[in-house]
Amino acid sequence: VTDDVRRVSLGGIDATLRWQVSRLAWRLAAAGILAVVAGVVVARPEPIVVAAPCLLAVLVALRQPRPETVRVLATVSELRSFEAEPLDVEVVVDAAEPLGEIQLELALPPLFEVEGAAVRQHFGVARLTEQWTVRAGRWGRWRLGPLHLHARTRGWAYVGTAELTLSELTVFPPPSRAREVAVPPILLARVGSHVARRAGSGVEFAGIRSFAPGDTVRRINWPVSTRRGQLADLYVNEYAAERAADVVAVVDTTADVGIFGRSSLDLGVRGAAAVVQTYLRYADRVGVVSLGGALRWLAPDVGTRQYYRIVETLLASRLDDSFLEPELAHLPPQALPPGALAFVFTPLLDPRAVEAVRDLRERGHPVVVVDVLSTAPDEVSPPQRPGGRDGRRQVRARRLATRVWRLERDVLVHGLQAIGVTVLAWDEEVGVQLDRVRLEPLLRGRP
Amino acid sequence: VSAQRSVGVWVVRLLAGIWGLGLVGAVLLVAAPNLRWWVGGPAALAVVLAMGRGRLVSFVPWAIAVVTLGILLAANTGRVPIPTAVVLGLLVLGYLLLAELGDTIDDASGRISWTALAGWVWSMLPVLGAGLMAVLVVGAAVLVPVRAGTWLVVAAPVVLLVAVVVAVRRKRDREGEGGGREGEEREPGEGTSGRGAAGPGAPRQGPAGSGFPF
Repeated sequence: VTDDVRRVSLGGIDATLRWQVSRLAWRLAAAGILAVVAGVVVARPEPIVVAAPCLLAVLVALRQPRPETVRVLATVSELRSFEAEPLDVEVVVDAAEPLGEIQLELALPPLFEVEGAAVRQHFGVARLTEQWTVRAGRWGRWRLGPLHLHARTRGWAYVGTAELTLSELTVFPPPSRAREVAVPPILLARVGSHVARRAGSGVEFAGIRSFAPGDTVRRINWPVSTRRGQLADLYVNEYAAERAADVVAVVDTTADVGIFGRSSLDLGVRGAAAVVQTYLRYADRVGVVSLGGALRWLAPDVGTRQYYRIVETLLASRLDDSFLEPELAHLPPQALPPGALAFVFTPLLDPRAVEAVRDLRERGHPVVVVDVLSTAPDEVSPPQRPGGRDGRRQVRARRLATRVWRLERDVLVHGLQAIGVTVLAWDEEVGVQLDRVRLEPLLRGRP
Repeated sequence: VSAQRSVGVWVVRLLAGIWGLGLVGAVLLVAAPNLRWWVGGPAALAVVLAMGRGRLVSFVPWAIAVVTLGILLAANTGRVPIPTAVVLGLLVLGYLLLAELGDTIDDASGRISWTALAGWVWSMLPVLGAGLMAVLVVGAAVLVPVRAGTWLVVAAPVVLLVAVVVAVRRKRDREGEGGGREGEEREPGEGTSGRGAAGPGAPRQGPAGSGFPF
C-alpha cells in the first residue's frame, strides 16, 4: 500500500478507559503482605526486608498517573470494497502521558482475514500507530471491529480497557471477469452493443444490396460493383444494427442451504452481481428481482448508478422466513419487460421458484437457470455407520434416498430444458460461464 | 516492513523460570536441612509449572506462597541474614515482573521485539527503583546499629516531607481540575444540569462501546 492512497477518516474519539487494579499489583501486594505476616508471626525483621520491595513497588506503581481518556483516531482506506480486496485500517492512539503498555486488538466479523497479528502491543509509549490489512470474505454490510483497547499505567499497577466500534463496511460481490455474453433473441429499439438481425448502422458486415438513393458513397462496395461490369448498377455494403437488450437477474431467496460464505444465497448474489455488471458494460438495461418471502424488484435501467442500486438491493438479500406467502410464480410485468433475458439463480429446491421459471418461459422470456446448490443431502448429514443389521439398513436407506433425490432433480432439470430453459451449473472458478450460455430459441431458430 | 529482531514468549518464560528457580535455590540455602525437600520440592514444581501457559490456574502465586513459607521457617530458626533477605526480596520482585511479562506477551502476538523490551524496562523503572530503594533502606535500617530513638529522629522528618509533597501535589491537581469551573462567568439563574453542560459532571463524548461518527 502506498502512502498516496486516499483514506477515509472515521473521526477521532476520546475513549474513556475503565481502570482496574492489575494482576501484577495484586500479586505484589499479596507477596508483600504474606512476608509481613510471616515476619510478625516469627517476630523477626528478615521477612519484612523481603516484603519491603514488593510493597513499596506496588505503592509507587499505584501512584503513577492514569489518564481518564485517550484519543483514538481511526482511518480506513475504503468504506466500500469487493470481496477479497485488501483494505487498510489504521488506528492512532494518543495518550496525554506515556503509558506502560498500549495493546490494540482488532476483532473482525466471520470470514474476514487479517494479514499479520490481530493483536498489537507496545510498551512505554504515549502514541501508537498501527495498521492492519483486512480482506472481507463475504459480501454484505459489516461492522469493522470492535477494537479492543488495553492500556497499562507505568509500573503496570492499573489496567484500562475500552471497546470501540469502527465504521460500517459495505462489501460488494466480486467483479465480473466475463468478456462475452449471451444475446437475447429480442433486442430493444435502443442503440446498444449487440449485433441485431436487422440491417442498420453498425460495424458488423451483414451483406450487399443494390445502391439506393440516400446511400453514402463510402458504403459502395467497389470490387463487387466493378466485377458485375455495369457501372450504372452499384452495390453497397449492408451492416447489422447494434441494439441494446433487457436483462433481469432473479435471485431465489426462498431457500439458503450450504455453509456460510458458500451457501446457495451467497453464490446467487455473487452470480447476479456478475451478470448485472457484465451486461451493464454492454450498455444494456439491467434489473433485478428478489424472489422470496417478499417479492422485491428493481426495474431495468442503464449505467453505473444502476449497478450500485442493484448491488445495494442484492446486499439486502437474506433468507425470508415470512408467514405470508406472496404469489411468487407470476412475476409482475413491471419487473420484467417483454422479451427480457432472465437469469434465475436458484437452488431449485422450492417449487414456487420452479413454477416462476416455467411461468417466465411461458411468457416468452429467454430464461437461463443457474443452479447454485453447492451441497448435497449426504454432505449435509453424512451417514453414520453404526454397527449391526439396523445400522447397515439405515445406511442403505440413506443412500437410496439420496439417489432418488438426485434422480428427481435430474428429471426437474430435463423438464426445464424441454421447455427451452438453459440450465447451467455454478462453476467454482468463474461462477457463471456467460460465454458458454446457449439460448435454446436461437439454436432452434424460434424467436 | 523492517524486520525487527524479537524474542519469543518461551524465552521470556524460560528466563522467568530460571529466575524463579534461583529464588527457590536462595531459599533452600537458608532453609533448615530437614525442611529443604518439603519447601524446595513444591516451590520448584510450582515454578516449573508456571513456565507453561495456565489458562485456568496460574502457578505463580503458589510458587510465591511456598517460597514465603520457606522464608518464614528459615527466619524462625534465625538462618536468614539480612543481605540474603535483601536478595530474596529482589528475587521475588523480579520473578513476579518476569512472569507478568510472559503472560502479557502470550496474550498478544507471542513475540516481543528488543525495542518493545526496552519500553517495558522503561515502564518498569519506577517499580524497580522503588524495590531497590526499599531493600536498601530497610536493610540498612536493620543492619546499622543505631538506637530506635535515633531512627525516629531521622525517619520522622523524611515521612513528614513526603507527606507534605503528596499533599501539595494533590491540592495542585485539584485546583487544576476545578480551575475551569471557577473561571466561568454565569448568568443569573443559569444552571449546569441542562444539555451541553461542561465540567466534571457533564457526559463525556465517546464512552466505552460507543461508535465512531461517520
